[in-house]
Amino acid sequence: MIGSYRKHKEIQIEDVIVSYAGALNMDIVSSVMNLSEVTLLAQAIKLKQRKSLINIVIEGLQNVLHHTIEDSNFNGQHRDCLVMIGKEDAHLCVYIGNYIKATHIPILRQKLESLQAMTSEELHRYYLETLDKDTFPTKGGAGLGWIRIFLDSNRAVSYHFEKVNEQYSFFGFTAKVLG
Amino acid sequence: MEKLLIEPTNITPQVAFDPNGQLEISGLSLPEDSYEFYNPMLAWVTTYAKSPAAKTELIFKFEYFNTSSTSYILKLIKEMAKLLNEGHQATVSWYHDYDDDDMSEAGKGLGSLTTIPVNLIGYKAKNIY
Repeated sequence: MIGSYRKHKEIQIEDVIVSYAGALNMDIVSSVMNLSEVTLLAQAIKLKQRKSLINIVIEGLQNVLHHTIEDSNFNGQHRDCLVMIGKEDAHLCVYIGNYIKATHIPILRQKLESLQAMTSEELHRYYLETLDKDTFPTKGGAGLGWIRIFLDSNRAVSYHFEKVNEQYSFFGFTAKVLG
Repeated sequence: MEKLLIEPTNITPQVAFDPNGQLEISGLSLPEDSYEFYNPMLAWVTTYAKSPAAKTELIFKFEYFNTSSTSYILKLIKEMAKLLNEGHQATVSWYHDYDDDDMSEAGKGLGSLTTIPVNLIGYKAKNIY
């Protein structure tokens, strides 16, 4: 099922550098990160851009691990995800897509809309305020991951939700890293 | 008191905490459960602080760290601030590759949240991403 999203996205993204679709765990996050690093280095992408892209990959994929549905009714594909690095509109970008429960959409949409409304300075301040609150869950980063994605992409984040059925949707986001 | 030594993995850093006062964390910090990974270090430092060495240096040499690690990194830095406030000698050294502005900025950001200075030290990192 995730294969169809992959095919669709590979048409949209130019010059795909890295593409993975399938099950996700921390070993795979590590492998995707290493592959991204090697290929970006081979393409002589500057350190600052490489770091931003890889930070986005790390935070995006760990968000998928922490927050995706653990629901055996969903054909065992609940932790499938799609991650791609390539170019969109001549800018390097990361795309990450995964399945989520429809009931989670309003909270996620609200979080993303509030971050999109902030300036870079406001995001930076919000990041430090959240960090200093000392109310972190044992897993996950209390929303810091999304703030970091917005900061590393200088707020160039777009996203979409596609209904799969009444209970589940596919959520995808693109974060661009400007040169 | 015994040393705390943790070998690195593909997603967690090397940890070498020595009761002689050298406390170092280096490598990648991407643990899935940051509490589980960092809590032993915090527990070690709490015990160490009851009878610390003449000088304590907390050293960070990260290649990457995820946001869920950041809270615990900050907690460790704040433990050094406590030592300093209690009249002990303590420093925090934040290493970053000369070209890695991102890592340097991260150190500055953490420093802005504590009362102990975070010393930014540039160096030529091996295997820098």
